[in-house]
Amino acid sequence: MWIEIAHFSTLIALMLAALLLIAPLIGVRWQRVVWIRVARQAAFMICALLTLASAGLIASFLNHDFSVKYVAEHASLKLPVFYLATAMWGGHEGSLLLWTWMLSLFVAIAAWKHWKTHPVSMPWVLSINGGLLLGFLLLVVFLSSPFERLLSPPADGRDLNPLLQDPGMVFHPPFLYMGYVGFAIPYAFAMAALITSQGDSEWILATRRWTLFSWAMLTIGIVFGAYWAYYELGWGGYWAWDPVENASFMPWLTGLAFLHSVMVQERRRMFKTWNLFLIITTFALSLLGTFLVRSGVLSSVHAFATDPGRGVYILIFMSALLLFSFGLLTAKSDQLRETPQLESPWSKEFSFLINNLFLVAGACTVLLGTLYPLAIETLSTAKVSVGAPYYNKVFIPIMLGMLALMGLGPLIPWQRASLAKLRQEFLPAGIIGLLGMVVAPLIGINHLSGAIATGLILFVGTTHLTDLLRNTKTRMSRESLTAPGAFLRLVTRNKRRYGGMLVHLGTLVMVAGFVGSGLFQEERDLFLAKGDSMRIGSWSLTLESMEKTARRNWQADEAVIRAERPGEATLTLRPQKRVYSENSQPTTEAAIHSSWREDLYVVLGDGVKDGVWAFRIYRTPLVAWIWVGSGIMVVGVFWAMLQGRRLQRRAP
Amino acid sequence: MNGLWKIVLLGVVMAILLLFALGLKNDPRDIPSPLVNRPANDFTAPALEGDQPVRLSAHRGQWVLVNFWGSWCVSCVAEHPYLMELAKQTKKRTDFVMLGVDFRDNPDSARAFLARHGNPGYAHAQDPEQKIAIDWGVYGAPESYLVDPNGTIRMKHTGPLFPGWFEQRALPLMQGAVK
Amino acid sequence: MRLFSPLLLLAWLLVMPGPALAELRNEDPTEAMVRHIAKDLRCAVCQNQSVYESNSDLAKDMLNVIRTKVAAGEQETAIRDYFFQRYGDYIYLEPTTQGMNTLLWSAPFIGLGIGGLALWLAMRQWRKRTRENTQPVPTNTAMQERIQKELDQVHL
Repeated sequence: MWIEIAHFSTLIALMLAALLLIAPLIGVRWQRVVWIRVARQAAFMICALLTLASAGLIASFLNHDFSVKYVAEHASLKLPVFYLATAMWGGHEGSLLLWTWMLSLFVAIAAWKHWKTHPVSMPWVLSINGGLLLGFLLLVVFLSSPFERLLSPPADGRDLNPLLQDPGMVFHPPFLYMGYVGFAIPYAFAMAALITSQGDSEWILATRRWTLFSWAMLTIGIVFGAYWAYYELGWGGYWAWDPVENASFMPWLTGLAFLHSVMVQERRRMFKTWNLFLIITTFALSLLGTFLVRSGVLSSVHAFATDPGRGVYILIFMSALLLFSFGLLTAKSDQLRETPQLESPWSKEFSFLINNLFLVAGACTVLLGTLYPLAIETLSTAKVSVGAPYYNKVFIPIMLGMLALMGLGPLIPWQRASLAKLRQEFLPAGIIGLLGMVVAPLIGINHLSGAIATGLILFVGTTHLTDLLRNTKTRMSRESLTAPGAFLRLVTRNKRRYGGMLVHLGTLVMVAGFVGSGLFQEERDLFLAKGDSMRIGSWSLTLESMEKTARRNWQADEAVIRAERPGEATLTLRPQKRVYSENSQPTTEAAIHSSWREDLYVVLGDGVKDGVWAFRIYRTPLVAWIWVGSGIMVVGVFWAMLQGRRLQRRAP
Repeated sequence: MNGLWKIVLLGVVMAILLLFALGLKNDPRDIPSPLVNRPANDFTAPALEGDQPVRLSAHRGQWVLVNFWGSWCVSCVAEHPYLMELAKQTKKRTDFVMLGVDFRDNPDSARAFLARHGNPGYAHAQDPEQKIAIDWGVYGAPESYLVDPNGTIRMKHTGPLFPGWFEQRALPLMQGAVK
Repeated sequence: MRLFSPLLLLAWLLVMPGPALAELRNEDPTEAMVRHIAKDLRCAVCQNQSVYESNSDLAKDMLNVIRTKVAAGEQETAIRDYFFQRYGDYIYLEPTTQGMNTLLWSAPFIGLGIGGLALWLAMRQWRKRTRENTQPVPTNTAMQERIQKELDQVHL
């Protein structure tokens, strides 16, 4: 019953999406506002209908309706309720519906929020999003329907992939999709700006909060994914440079480039074409990310099961969209009347451009590394792999350059700076940074990139703190405030600037985490019998006993390990090796003790002979800094967004 | 400079799309083997049935089809009828033998597999730790290699052999060698 | 104090006889080399994971082959070569720097160089324009003026 409601509401949404695509065009062509109003109502209704459809699919899961093929393939009677509801996005079909539902939600919000403020762009925004929704709904309805019934329903389902039965699954895909989908709105505004040849008016104000929001969601989604991979996959790492991970990373990089360069357009009304290019590219890469997983072109650990018809449709849809977008950009860019003027390369404008150069070069590197194996395979008979070592060698230098540029941010002025002034501004920070690089090897950071990163962290940190201190002092003397009062006034008055600086500081924390975990991880592979102990770092681990445990849909071997470190309380770690009842492949559940200094990570391997088990133990310094740093970043972005709202309200 | 970026941009976009279009035909699991036209690595391993160990070099002078399989492998079930038929069909040929390598498997389940799906009658080598399989560059099952009378691998087939494979793929090679 | 505690612990362990059964296990000395090699080899069945990191059966067996070879005293290059001869370029997670791959390795830096050059040239052109025409671009519509006013209040 529920699934039919879901199916029918999706079908109606499909028809309304066609209306959403066409009605605004009629409205614009014949100057009839009523058609645009119709489109707006259609956008609201599509959102309502797809909400119903998603609810219907979730209800089918909760009711254990195994006559629905998708439910039968992704759930079982034993699956806990928590995962039952989230199994909705456990496979290709359902996750595509989730994607489309989110898109419809954002379109409805855009149609509601920007209706009055952006009358010129609105018809085009609605129409373009109508096209996107139509494209996705066609895919959902005809090529990957989650609503199909089985003629002879099984008594029990095939269960959700054990790796997906995890809290990570609950959060990672929705946040990631929110990030991807969120860029659809700025994209539509950018396209509207191109169509109406108004490259510098409405779209920037409209999209500022959308891009910040989407980028924040993408950050959360990516970091959740990394964290999930870290504790679930049991290999002690968090980022494998897998094609699908790369696919989420590329729009993150170009989106970040946009967030910086759009400030130049706001301030100086320059680089209009470039900004349009960046936002279109960001959305195009988001789509690429969604599609790479589903078309079967690239192989990946995360890939969904694929079939060729779907791949062809996705390719046609992508081609239409990309050629339309970039074609329009090249055709219309000359009409944007761009006359960039630059007083000096020693200016904030130019530093943003170099920042963009590095970020885009980084994104291109990731794209190249992702597509290169595909190119080689397609154009010759050979087959190559491009794995983590490649990115570590090529991408890290580029990102170190990025990090250095970040230090310029707060202290370099707009328009023009005198070299003498710059020298004076950056001398202390530069000295501290260089000192850091020299001292780093002496305190054990004996890797070139690690030492450089350490110095750069100090450099960037110093310039940011200098700026904070100086501006707080100015406010203290100007407004006769106490230091905390002045600081508070400073960061609340200009949320956008200090939100941005908070993001930078979060990045520094993350980079410290990358250096610690990437360069100083220690591993041990060994066999332990009951009572045996081993050492890693200053830890001493003893295998106390082996136990058997079971839950509803799995049973496991569990090692009880006592971990001690001089001067600290003793811990008990319980790594497991689980076998799920519907799946023969055992999964590992690592036991992790996390602290600010280092993570202790214990993986239970195979039992060798009676009572002797293989263990893999990692000691990874500073991993926690990555999660904390990303949290600081997200807080920074939201802080910056608060100001967006104030500006928005006052804007005409 | 002003028009150049447009050409470059559209060129790159179209190149990527073209790559995807061509790439749809790729099988991401198919890895070309560099072992083709190289001497096959000899192996001697206990047989699945009987005490006589299985040795590849014992078949020098004959074409040998080496089929890697396991009772855990789903596609092997699909392939099995053709192997049965091929074994029957080529039983009288003196220039062609088949060998199985049962890898990552325990002998009892492998024997149970043969009992259930039929026993084609040729010898199977046991490779529980997939030492032979790795030595032969195997990464999945089923995979088959055709070794010529001089002990050189002449062809690799990834995935189940299809009906008519022998006539379409193996025979041309074998006859070419005779000439 | 903290600095010395591992030493103290070690001393304690040397002096005190441990419980009869319990033993302090050390990693096999060859294991570090095994890891070093296995981290750079791709597990063929699991797509984009290294032999060391993968949980798949093939990876475990490949790891054991590496172990046997390291224990037998084979050199790193010989072991890498063994897998290369059997699985081809595909097995190396780090692509070689030969043939077409030189493009893969150099393209990011060439791109960065070309981008930097283009940026520099564009910058010179823009500066020239600024010197010739010091007039700021006129603000044309009332709306833009208001947007600009909003933005000017924000110190970026």
